[in-house]
Amino acid sequence: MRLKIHNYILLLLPLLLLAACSEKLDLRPETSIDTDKALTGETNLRLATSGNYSMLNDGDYITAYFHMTESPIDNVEATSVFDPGGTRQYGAYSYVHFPTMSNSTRFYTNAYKLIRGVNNVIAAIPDNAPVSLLQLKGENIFLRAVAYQSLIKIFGRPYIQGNGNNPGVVILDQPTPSLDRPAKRQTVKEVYDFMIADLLKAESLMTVDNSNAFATKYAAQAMLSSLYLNIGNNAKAIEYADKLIAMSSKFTLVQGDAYKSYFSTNHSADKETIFCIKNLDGTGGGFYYYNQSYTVEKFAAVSAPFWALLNETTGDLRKNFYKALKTADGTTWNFTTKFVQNPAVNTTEKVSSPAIYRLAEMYLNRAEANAKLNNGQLALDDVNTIRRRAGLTGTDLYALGSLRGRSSILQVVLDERRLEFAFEGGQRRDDLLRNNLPMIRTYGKPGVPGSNITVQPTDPRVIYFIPLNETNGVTNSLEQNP
Amino acid sequence: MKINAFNLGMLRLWQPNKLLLIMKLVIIIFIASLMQVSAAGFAQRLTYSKKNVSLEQVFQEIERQTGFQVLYSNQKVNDAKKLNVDFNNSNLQEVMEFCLKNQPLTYKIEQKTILIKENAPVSQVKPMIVSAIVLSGRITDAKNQPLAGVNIAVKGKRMGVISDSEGRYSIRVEESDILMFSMIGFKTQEFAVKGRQQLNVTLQEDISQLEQFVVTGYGKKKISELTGAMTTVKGEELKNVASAAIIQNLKGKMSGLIVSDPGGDPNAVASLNVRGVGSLGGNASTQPLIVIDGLIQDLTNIPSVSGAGNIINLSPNDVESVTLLKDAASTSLYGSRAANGVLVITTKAGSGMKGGKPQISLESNFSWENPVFGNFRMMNSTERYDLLGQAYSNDYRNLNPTKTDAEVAAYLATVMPNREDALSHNTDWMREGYRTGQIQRYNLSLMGASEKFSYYAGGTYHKELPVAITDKFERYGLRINTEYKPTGKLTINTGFNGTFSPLQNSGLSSYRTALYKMMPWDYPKNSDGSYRLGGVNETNWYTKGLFNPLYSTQKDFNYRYDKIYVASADAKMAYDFNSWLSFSTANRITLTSAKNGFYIDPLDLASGRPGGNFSRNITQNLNYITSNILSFNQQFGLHELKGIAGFEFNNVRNEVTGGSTNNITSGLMSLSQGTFQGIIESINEVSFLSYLSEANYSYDNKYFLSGSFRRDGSSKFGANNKYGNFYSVGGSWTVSNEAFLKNNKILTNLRLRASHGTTGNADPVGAYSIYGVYNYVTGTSQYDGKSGIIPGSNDNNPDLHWEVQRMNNLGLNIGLWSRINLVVDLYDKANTNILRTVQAPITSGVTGVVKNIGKVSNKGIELDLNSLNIDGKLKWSTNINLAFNRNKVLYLTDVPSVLPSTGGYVTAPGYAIGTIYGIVYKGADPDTGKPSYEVLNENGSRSTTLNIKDATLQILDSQQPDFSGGISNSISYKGITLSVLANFITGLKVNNDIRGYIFGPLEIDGASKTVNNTALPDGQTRWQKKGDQAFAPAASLSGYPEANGYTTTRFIDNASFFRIRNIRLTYDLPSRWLDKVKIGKAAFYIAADNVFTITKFTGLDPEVGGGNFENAAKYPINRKITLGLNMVL
Repeated sequence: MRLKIHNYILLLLPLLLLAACSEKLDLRPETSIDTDKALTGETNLRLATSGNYSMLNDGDYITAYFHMTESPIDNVEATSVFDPGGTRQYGAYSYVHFPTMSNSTRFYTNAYKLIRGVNNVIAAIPDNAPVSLLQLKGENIFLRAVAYQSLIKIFGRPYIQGNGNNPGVVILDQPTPSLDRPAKRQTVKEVYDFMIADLLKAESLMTVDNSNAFATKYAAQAMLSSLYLNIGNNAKAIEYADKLIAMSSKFTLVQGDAYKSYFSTNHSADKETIFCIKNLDGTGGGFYYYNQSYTVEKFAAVSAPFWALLNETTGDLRKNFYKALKTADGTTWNFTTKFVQNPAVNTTEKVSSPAIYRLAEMYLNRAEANAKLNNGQLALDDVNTIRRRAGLTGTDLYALGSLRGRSSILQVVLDERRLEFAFEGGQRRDDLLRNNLPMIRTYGKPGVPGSNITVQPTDPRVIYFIPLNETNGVTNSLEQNP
Repeated sequence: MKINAFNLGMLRLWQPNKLLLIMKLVIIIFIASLMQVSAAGFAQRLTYSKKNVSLEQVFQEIERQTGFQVLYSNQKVNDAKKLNVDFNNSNLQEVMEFCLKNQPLTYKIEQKTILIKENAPVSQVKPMIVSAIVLSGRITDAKNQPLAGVNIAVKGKRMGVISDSEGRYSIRVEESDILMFSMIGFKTQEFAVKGRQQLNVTLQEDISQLEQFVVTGYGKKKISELTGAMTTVKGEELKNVASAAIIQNLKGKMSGLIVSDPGGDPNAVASLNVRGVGSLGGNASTQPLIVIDGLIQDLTNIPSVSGAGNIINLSPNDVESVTLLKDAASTSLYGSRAANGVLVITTKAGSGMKGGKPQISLESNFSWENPVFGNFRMMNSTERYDLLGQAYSNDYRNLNPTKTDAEVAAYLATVMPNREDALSHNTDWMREGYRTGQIQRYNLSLMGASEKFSYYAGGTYHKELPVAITDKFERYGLRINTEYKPTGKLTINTGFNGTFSPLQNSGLSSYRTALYKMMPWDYPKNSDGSYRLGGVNETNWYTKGLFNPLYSTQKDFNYRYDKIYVASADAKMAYDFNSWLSFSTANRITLTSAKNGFYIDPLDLASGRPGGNFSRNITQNLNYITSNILSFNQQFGLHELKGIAGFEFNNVRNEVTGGSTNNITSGLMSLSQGTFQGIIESINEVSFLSYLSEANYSYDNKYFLSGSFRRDGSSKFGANNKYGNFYSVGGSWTVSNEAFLKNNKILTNLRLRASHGTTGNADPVGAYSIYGVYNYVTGTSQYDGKSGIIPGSNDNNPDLHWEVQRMNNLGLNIGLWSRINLVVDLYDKANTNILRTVQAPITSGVTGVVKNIGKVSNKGIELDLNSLNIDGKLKWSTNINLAFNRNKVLYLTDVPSVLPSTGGYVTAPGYAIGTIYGIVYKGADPDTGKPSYEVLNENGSRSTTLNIKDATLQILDSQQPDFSGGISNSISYKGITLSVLANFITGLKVNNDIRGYIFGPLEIDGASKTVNNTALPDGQTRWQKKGDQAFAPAASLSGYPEANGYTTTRFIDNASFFRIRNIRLTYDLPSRWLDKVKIGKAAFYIAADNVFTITKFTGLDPEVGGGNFENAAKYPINRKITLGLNMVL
């Protein structure tokens, strides 16, 4: 009998063990937050919003965007063919695009990742939420507009062509089941209308005075001015530029030495920046356009026509944003330093806090709109404000009778925009496409693809292919760009 | 002992040296401490009560109740006094002592035999048989290893002895006696005494009997009762190849198993595949389940630790046998995780010994290895210079068609680098980046057994300086297995396996990949021996834009170190309640701890990381499993019914913590310095709970039926679908046991088998696929230094459930003349509810969702042939295994079947997984030198086009092999054994992507000024002038970018191959020499690995490690020469 008790105990022990084990089948992630919990409560929504900013700052999103909008234009000259290689620069510069191009695919992917992130937060905050939450909602709506603006510029034909009726990109304004396949691309106009509606709503929701590293109603207004300019609504472009220029207590043009070092700061102290992507010193995070122009690659040098424009006058402070460097084959070229933040501290030269909207743009938006509305003097006044800030005086300034060889006031404004915003986030490309102007490269080494070409704004390749995965039917079949 | 001059000489030569003696001493002391546990009574017990019983009757009762054999001389036992006995559960020792008390007899227990002897010295007793002679000798096996525990019996008399641990025996016989030498696993042999005093016997292995037991994981089974398909390889055969891990050594040895070579990296893990690819989760989802010593050993879930799965920490020397379970009848007991087959590994245990003194084995070998680049070669200086010249002149002529040859030459003079300067060096960068590797391996093991306690202890040290000049690999291993049987009913096993592996490799692995790009005109070192930096500012450096990859390989510049500690402990207990019911529990806990650091020195100017960088990760993986089983076994007449029921629980938790910092101080490896970049953190935990049962019925050893059922739950699946049920049924008929075949001399074995069943697979999904998550933004990705969360890249799927495989198997075993064994299996398996990450539309913002989709079928035939071709003084045996598999996707849901417009690897219904879809390349256009492509016209005719966009995309070929197999031959004569192993794979295509890698998306013909190019494979030519019929198009500086992104047949090669994988020559020193120095066995061997390969593949190696293309990051395979020594003391 004694033996039998032992036997029973022996058999019971595993059963106790079994009971303990079956609970262990319910295991949940420990270092992440469940999606349903992540979007509840102000603390979590704040975390999610901060996460969305970090997606905006993703190298595969914003850097790719900078590459694709700066390389194809006439401010840049490729220093060599593919030394050291890499698809990023070459494809954009030479207009040799293909649907599996890594830059456009990564950019598209990360733009929609950002859109998913912001849509989740936007949907989680009702319109009757407390002010602090509405501010968050507004910021996310603004980020959504940023994402769509970058997408439409890369994949949609300029608004001016076909009055916005060309295919744009897919609009998703709320969280949707991930495997649902959008049937078609919305038109360019629909995307612009969507962005404008978003920004108007964001402007009204954002009431908290944020730092320029985060979205504010001013950032929304600046973007509205820019969008209106792009679609040819000049009155509205002026209206929104005016709103910001009038906020003189908050925004002013930085002057003199402060301007000379403007690009090497993270903009937390200056009053010119309306919205920037901020990176802290030494974090080594942001490359932006800089790795094409400043590291060992030294691919994108300053082009001869742009250099000539910059040197048309003496004493232009904006020459401080360039530096002569030696490339691999021992030749010397000029490169922009607009993407080197605090070079004294960041000896590895990786950090930059690019300004996305700054007050100078509002002046020149207003100038371009006025030029188109035949308000010549008003346009030249704004141009001269910018030139004076750049240290130019006297005959270096424009007057109605003295356009310094330019054929029109619009040309004056465009040249000034080119000078002021060179290498900054696709400004020059926008200027050309919006005004139906060709990209003319009368320079470049023979044998380097992309040298000595003229690209008309109607050329299919001024925009990029939708990534192959979206158009080949494996996931869905969106219409491909020609 | 007779000593002659010859023996004296040998004695000195083979006297164990001091080191050996010290090692012996250490081991003996160590074991002596272990042995103390084993000093208690005998295991077997007897209950027997009778009056006036003869000794012989008692002995018969002992034989009946305990299974011990009692050997004695009839006459003496008959002379013994009768006894009154009353034993109640008395142990054998008590019984024997009682019985032999006051008798002129004594006894000795050896293994399962009780030997009755006279209790007085022979000389003092009156000789019973005057004419008796003492015959002595030594018994060995075919490999000249001493055989302990052989029964030596006198035919027709109940008299006999057992050989001792050195195989020696001594027996008193009469001249007319016939001796029988018998032992399980060997053929019984008879010899007439004929007045001899010395008789040495070599016993031959009985192949069919040897295979009688197969370890199937939850127990041993007689091969005759198996209904399923399986293949076994003995540990001995796995040691033939010099490698730190056993997986590589399985290559070519088991039908249906394809082992993909991971290259020459000693720390890389080979990828395995059993009976074709059935899952779509990549390599990780097709690995067989590994079971070591009866317990599942998870080897996948250790991210960030290269090769830390326990199987790689298993020293080949410790392995007793490896069995591959292939069909549902044999695997479904492992249910949920067995869809890819089960590899059952058994490690050595002392219980296999037949008693006697401990056996010490020593193996040591040394190898030299060199990288093998196969048919692949980079251009040399002249070839490269010519190519650049062609490119410049082709481009120039295209732009200026009217220029004369002289004008072209004048142009070339202005653009080409100076010929003399360029050709002054012809560096073979591949050679500069590799060295002759060296491997040292030592293994010392000790094995022994007493009646109640047996043990095995093995220690291994492996040191390798691989062919990659930055790498270093070491592994220390210790395994101790013990078995203790305190009573007849209880068995306790313990096991310990510990390894420590310090490794070092090139941190920036690009050192090896960059070698391909280096211009042969550049040279790595200055005349003073210092490395050139290369890159931008180096004068006379042609590979512009790239640093000298060897610059970074300098000592302490940049490297990654790993320290991997693995310790696992087994505790097992089995208890017999009675003769038919027993309970066993087996438990294992495995702790893997790995630390790695990745260091880039700030002084390494070639690293591209000016401030330097240091990162460190610490991984801790805890894996525990408990398996608790009740088993029964009942016989009624010719019927036998047995089975098991139990449950199993397995939990694996993996934690990784790490960080990285920039701008560091040279030589300082601390995360607290410099600019901290942020934390790496991940925790993954999965668990499995399973209920399992199996029943086996057999009748008269002819008819066998088996059935199993298993219910598995996993934390990987959603609440509604956590559990999956898996079952199998199988039957077999041993035709050769039927009366009409029973004594057939030709057809000695004939068996038919059939099985059907299901198994599951959870490997394609990670720990938390059912949950959607938000992850924390880490380190410098945080925006403005603030904490944030972002959605995970995969969306949740709460409905996720098991992938299920159904398999049918038909098998046939044929044995002829007891010399040839043929096993044929036919299978048809279908994986349904395939787990796969379904790619989401990019606009959704997620990468994909893991879903159960589709169905994949694999059908095939396997054949195993073992033949003992010649048996005698010269022995020759052959093993051939062959497998044919056909893979096909039957359907996929959620994945539209539109094929990609630029080609690629497609997984689509009707085709094999990853079928190559693309454009047929038709060579260079004779007129222009441009690449031309095939067009299939609507009317069925074929034409060519120069515009790739007009070319027709076609289904091209499969990357799934058709045939795979191996052939091994072993020939031995007088202690010399030669064995040769070859393996082959046919019927698959592989993309030689190294050529693509070098030029990225630009076509291979882009003869860049600054990057080297691959030499055209033999038989290919390049277009140079109008009218050339050439395969490769004209060289051009910018290549043919319009072909970018398209899959064409130009780089897709037939990857069929036949490889002589291993040749080994062993010399066993004759036992007559060894006897004098008391060494059981001593053998020398020389072996060569990867001797040669016959293939058309133009890349490094047609075995691409399980991928569908070969890439430049691959560590080339090695050719190895090994010298070794193997001794048993």
